[in-house]
Amino acid sequence: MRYAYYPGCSAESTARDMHQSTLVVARALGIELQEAQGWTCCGATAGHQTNRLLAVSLPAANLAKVQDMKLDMVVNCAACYNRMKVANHEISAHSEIRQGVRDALDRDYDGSVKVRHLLEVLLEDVGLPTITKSLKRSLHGLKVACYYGCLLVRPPGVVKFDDPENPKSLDRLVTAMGGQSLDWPCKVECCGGGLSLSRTDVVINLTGSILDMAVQAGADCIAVSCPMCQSNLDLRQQDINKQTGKNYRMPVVYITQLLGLCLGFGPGELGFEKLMVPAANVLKKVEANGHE
Amino acid sequence: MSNNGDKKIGAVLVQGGGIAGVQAALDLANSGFKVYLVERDAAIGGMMAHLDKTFPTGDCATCIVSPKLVECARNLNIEILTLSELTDLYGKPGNFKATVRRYPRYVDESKCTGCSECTQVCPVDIPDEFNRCLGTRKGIAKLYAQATPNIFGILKNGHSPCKLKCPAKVNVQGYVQLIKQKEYLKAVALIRQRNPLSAICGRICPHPCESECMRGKADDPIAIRLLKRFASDQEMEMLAAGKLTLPEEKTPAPAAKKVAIIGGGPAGLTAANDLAEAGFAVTVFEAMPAAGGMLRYGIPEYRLPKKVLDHEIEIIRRKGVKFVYNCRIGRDVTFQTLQKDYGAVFVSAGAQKSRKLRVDGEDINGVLHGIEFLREAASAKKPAVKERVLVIGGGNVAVDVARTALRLGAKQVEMVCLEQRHEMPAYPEEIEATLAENIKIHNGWGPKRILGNGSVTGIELKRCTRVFDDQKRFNPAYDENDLTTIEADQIIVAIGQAVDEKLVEHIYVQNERGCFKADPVTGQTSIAGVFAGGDSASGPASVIDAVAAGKRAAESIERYLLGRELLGGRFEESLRPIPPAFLPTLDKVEKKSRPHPEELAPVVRLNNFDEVEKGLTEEQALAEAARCLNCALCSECNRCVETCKQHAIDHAMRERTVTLEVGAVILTPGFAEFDASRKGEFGYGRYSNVVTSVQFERMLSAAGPFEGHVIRLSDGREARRIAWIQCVGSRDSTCGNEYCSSICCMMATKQALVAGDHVEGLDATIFYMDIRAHGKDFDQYYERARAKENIHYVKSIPSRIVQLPGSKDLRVAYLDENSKLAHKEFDLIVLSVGMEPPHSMAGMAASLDIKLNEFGFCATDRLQPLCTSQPGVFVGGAAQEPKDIPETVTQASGAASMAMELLASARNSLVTKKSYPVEHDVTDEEPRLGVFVCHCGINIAGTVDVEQVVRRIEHEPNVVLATHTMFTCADTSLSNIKDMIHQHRLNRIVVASCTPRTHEPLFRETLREAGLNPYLFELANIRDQCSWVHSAVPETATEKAIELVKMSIARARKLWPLEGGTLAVDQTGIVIGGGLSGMTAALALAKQGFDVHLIEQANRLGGTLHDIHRTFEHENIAAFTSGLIDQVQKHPRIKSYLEAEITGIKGHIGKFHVALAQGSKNLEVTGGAIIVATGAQAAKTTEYLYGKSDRVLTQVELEKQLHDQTWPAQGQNIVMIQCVGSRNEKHPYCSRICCSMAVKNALAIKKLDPTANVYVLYRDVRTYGFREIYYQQAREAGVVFIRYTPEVPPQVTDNNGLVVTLKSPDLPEPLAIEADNVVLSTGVEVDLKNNKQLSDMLKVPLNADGFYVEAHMKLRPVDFTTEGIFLCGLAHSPKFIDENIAQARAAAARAATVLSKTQLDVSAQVAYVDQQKCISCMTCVTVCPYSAPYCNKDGKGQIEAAKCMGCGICAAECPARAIQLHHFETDQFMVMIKQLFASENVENGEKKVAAQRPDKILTGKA
Repeated sequence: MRYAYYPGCSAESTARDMHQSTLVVARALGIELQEAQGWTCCGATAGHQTNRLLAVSLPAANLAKVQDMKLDMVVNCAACYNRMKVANHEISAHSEIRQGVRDALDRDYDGSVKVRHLLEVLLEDVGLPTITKSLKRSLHGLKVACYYGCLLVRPPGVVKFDDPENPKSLDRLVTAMGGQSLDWPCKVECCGGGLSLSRTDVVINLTGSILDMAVQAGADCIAVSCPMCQSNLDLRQQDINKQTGKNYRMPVVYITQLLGLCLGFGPGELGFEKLMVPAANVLKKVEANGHE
Repeated sequence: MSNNGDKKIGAVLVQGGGIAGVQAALDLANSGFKVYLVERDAAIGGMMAHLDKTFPTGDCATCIVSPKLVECARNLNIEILTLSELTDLYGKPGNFKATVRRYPRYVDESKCTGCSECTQVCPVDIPDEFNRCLGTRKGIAKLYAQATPNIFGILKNGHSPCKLKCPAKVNVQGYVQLIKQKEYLKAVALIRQRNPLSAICGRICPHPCESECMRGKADDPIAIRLLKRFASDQEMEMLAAGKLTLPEEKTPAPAAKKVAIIGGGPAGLTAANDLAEAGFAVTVFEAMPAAGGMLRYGIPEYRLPKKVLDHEIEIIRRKGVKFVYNCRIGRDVTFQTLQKDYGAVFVSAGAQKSRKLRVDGEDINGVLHGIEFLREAASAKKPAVKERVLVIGGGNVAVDVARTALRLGAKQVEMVCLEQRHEMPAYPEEIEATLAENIKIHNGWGPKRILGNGSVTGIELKRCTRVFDDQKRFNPAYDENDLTTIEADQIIVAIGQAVDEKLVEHIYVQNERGCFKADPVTGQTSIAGVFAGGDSASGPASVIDAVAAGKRAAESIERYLLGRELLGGRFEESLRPIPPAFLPTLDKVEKKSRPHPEELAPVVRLNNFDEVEKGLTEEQALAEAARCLNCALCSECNRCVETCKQHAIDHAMRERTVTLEVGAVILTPGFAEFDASRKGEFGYGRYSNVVTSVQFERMLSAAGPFEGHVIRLSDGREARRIAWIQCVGSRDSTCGNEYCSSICCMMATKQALVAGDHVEGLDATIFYMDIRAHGKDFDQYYERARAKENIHYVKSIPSRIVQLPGSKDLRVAYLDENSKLAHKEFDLIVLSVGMEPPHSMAGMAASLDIKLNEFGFCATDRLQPLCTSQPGVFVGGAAQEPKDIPETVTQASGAASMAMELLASARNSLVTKKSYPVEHDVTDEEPRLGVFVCHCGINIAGTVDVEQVVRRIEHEPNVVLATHTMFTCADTSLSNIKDMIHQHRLNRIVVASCTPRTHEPLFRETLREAGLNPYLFELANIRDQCSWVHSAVPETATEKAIELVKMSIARARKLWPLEGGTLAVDQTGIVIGGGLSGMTAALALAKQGFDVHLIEQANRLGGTLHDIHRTFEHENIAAFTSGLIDQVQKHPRIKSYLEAEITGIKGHIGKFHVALAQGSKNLEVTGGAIIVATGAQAAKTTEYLYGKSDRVLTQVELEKQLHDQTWPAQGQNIVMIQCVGSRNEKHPYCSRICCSMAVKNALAIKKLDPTANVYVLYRDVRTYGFREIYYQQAREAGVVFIRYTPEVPPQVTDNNGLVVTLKSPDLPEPLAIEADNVVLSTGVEVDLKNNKQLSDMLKVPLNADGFYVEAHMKLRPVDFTTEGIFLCGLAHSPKFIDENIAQARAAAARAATVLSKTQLDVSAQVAYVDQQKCISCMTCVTVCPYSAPYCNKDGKGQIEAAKCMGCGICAAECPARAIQLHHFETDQFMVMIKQLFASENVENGEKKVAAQRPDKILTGKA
């Protein structure tokens, strides 16, 4: 299982824990991630709202590089994933955009690189039976609210990933690890990702209601697979608590971190210390479940 | 007969038994055609049977539809084919051959009496589709309580995975269900049908079934083996306790054919069992001193106690099987002898020899072999074991050997095998038990040589590197350098079994690799009449495999001996797997694990052979059986079969096809509900408190799963805050349904209103896009709902429902009236699901070659709305376009008219009319009563002591015969009643049973067949009104039943024969109004072969049709109009009267006289039926400067200008204003057509000039059905739709140019539009003066808006309450061309039910006036809803029998008591009351006194 890996900008900064745990888990499960050489920003930030051609050309530059590698592209960040998928979709559907991209990149790209989210690789290529067999510890007794955000599953016609209203990929992984995945109502609610810095008030409102639902559902932690979601949910809890008088202390962990724990890795190897809200309860529970 | 194909066939096939199919069938059957009513479901009734109430009438849907269903069932000329569908059609219009597939009901329709005893014993609970899975139903059930036909049916899916996986095909689901019901003996009997070794397999079967169990995919598979053991143990315990005795010993008949069986192991025993049951003389030749084979001499007793084995062998022996022990083939008897002396031989000798290791040292003293070791261990002389025993092998025998050796005293037992632990062929639980007993297993070693000198000292082993090769074949490889040694005093080799070579020599059938060669299906060997099975044919296998082989051989041997072919139609061919889509869904299964029975502790096991595993406790077994998911639906447990006293149940029924000869086909398959789970954002299927509108109907229904309680499914609490979300699956391109489903707005409104009656403090919110209340009187209904404080209409469709964790309340985000985001929480949310084509539509269309539209509905033309693309095949109802009940009924009648027109020449050619014997004259006879009291199975007899009732009434005066019957309505009972009438010269019959509503006609019919007048019958309702309601107090109920029967007896004495009259029918139709509807109706009647008088006020035919120039679909309506006028004028049967005024109408159904003034000429036309089609016109207005500015015009004027190309295209800005003069206080109704008309004209303007700005100011856009597409097109073309509210209507001013100003609730600021033209949609209104005059003459009512009022808004949309007069067109209510055409044809079909008869029967149950007593107050004339009473020439009231419906209102109201209703006369009731209150005095006084016969018994007119 070899893939071209597109880490995305946050992987080298705010989401180093995601990056780190992804690599650890991939190695343990025999997924060979070959980082795309010279990758650049996907445009998920301000770029994609500025100009349609720019919005497609930025991801296309990366896709074209991967095309040369003759591998499928694996992405972990939901925003990057969404941009890549949209670019492929736009380029395939509109010849004028493909032409525009050709002019911008000075090369042709036909939109054919297969873009896969790490979750897809885990569930489809590796498969739950293999994962289950590799587990050393379990999430038994841990109640997990799986949070997908909006970019991973939408628009359904473009990303074609899981059920846009009630996705189950993360839940299936959590269940396979022995944890209890909760049916809660905010799986695909928006966290305010794009407004993270410009309109913190909106973000506080949106993430506040997501955290509230997770608490009401009785979650021990929220599991995510996107660095934007993670930072919004994790980082803003202090502000929310200050502004609303609540006392949220909800760990927001990457699914790769949970998987890494169950595969037998220590919290240090998986970047747990980088979480703003410590996941001590998670670690304690997994530790208590012990080695098989 | 070459022209046979041209002959018209007077029969029609109607596909779909909903209200449309029922109406079409009734119209056709009542006008001289044979009807096959074909319905896919188990009962007719369709969607209406699911509904609670109807809008806007508030009727109980079931109450109004049931009588129609019953009427269908009773009609001699309607044959109802349920569970059937039309699959093919050959031939041509007028002469088709229709292929109908009939699915099995598994209940004989002709035998089932609907008593429900089967359903009470059925153990299977499955989701009830009728209740949309809100509750469960039994495997055998009626579709719904009032189902027609009133019979039961069984649901099957196929055969469950457990049964199919079982080699012997034991009905697992069946016996598990019986155990659930504590019917343990029945469970064992069911097991033994396929496996006579029930108790044995309950212990040692490897249970392959459990690996297939669907429950195992949710949590744990059902513990099937343990349940089997539990049931079998109950049998043995009962025997031991003396509560049960073994069956009688049987001996085969002397002439029975003989079968020899070689070997009494499981295969031989099974074959012996089956063949003995089939009546053959079976002898089993067994080499050992007792039967059982490996069961006795291989399986150690700690797994299978000998007493269990003996028990089951004894049961087989008692069936007449002879056992010859110690008889070895070739030694004690030769195979040839058997062949000669027996008709057939079954070889099931087993594999009784151990395989050898073939390594050095195997012959050293102390090396034993497994099979022989076990055989000895099972005999009295136990083999000696040494201290350290080593067993070689990893299979079940090896494990048995090891554990036996331990029990025989070995100090240390070890095992060695090639396989790794997970590869070992022994059953996992056996390996577990072995390890638990401290037996060490050395995995992955193979023997190199056995060590020892004179006696064994140990074994040298080599490492086994692989057991199976890449092809998974047994092909071990070794590492010869990796060696080890284990010390042992005794080595037992248990590496496999083989058939005794000597036996193979003696039995000279062909063999292969040491086994007898036998056909895998039949068991037949190379020698005719010799069969083989079990281990000796297949090689070593499990006990259940052997049983299966025995079954197969027995089936073959029976066939062989009876001279039938061996293959073809064998049992296993009857099995079919459940299609994967129908397997139970697992996501809702509540997780529960399987039980683990107790075991003897390992320390207690060691020195004895006590059974290790205990059985389940009863509590465990019942809980375990209840976990079964009933994959196959019906479990075929046969409880119903044994319970049904009518022997109506037949599990072997199969699907079949029939071919019907019909002249025409009408398709009325209805619709399917949109699958709400496709709109994931609403969480249907995910959130338990989100239901569909149809589920909500079932919730509201008193006969539904919650008996009318509106509850939350999550916690059963009453739902108080309820929201409806409209347009789920309608008007939605994301799911491909761009059309409007037409009914949902009204349905939600009705549901909110009805829920208000069910839920105190209801808070209802309806989220909608437009409220489409476009039907007759709908808008008034909607306004009433809107005026309620607790019903909120919110014009916003939420994008998502969120379920709050914990409370499971539902939160909805929406835009409020200020376009601000709002949140609201609800207890329950109802999704108003739209209509989709029925699931069967695509397949049917393909096989009948019928075109469908883009959405999969039947494609029709707006000018031919009832015709499919296939001539002779007509369509009606929702399958053509979403619509509500009245339009569905209308289209159904219209389609019936189409068929009548096609088949006019064949009318009355295939109908049956029953003839009866001459009525016996009872005039001068004393009453001689026969009383029949019905048990109704246990429905009555379970509560009421029926026999006591008979005893207590049999000495009542005039009672000649009193008896009781199981089902009085059963065919045999009815014949018996007829016999009794003749035998005892009975002249009055009383039946005490269910209800006259369903059964009176049947018993009356029986009287007529026996030559008695049907009115000499009386029914005492001791079921619905006694046993059912008083089931808790049987004794009092019995007393009440006695009273009821006595009252009926009293009344029966007073019954007299009545005879209805007949009246001649003038077979001419009269149509009033010559517009589209009138012309269409006249043509329909004329084409059916009736003469028609068509009366028109104006000087030309066509009416307002002349104002319509184009429709969405048709450019040239003028051509259609002139073509239609031409057809009417040229038709020889139609006589048109233009400029004719109606001056008077007299007469009644069958003969109306209509007086006309045509200019100066006065004339009269007569006919048997009248159709009113007087139409309506565009309303006038003076609003919005109409008439003051020439730039303000109506839509009709605009359309004319557009058509004449005189539209000046005066400018760029056109403003259309909707609802001008409609939906206001003066005209509270919606004119239905104006929204579409505006859209049509707007699109036309846009087509002329795409840059023109067209603004449509509307209140609700009501482009219902497929017209919604044009609304969408208009928006796409840039037409701007702006909403206004009636509180703030638009203003039009003209100061140097038209300006329209308005304040829209959807826009923040007021608007002012400079308009070049203002176009007004003014709606439709009737000519009130004209309608008043005509309605007075016809004596039919008008509503407040001046439209005619039909007999019943839902189910009689074109009838008047006055018989013989029918209604269609705009005179009924505003509607489109296609709707008028359908309705006109409907009126023609309804009129044909009168005109097709030469004479009509007049009911005998009519009122009459005693002229002496009449005081001429004419109260009767005032109160009669049917205009039957009139003032006669003497100034007295008199009743026109032809019009009387026998309702009795006049009799009740008459202040002089001058009116009596035949059959319900005062004294007939008084005697009942006297009987009830007064007692014996009355009884004695009345005794044997024949009642006085009234003066008149002949009613009606000749």
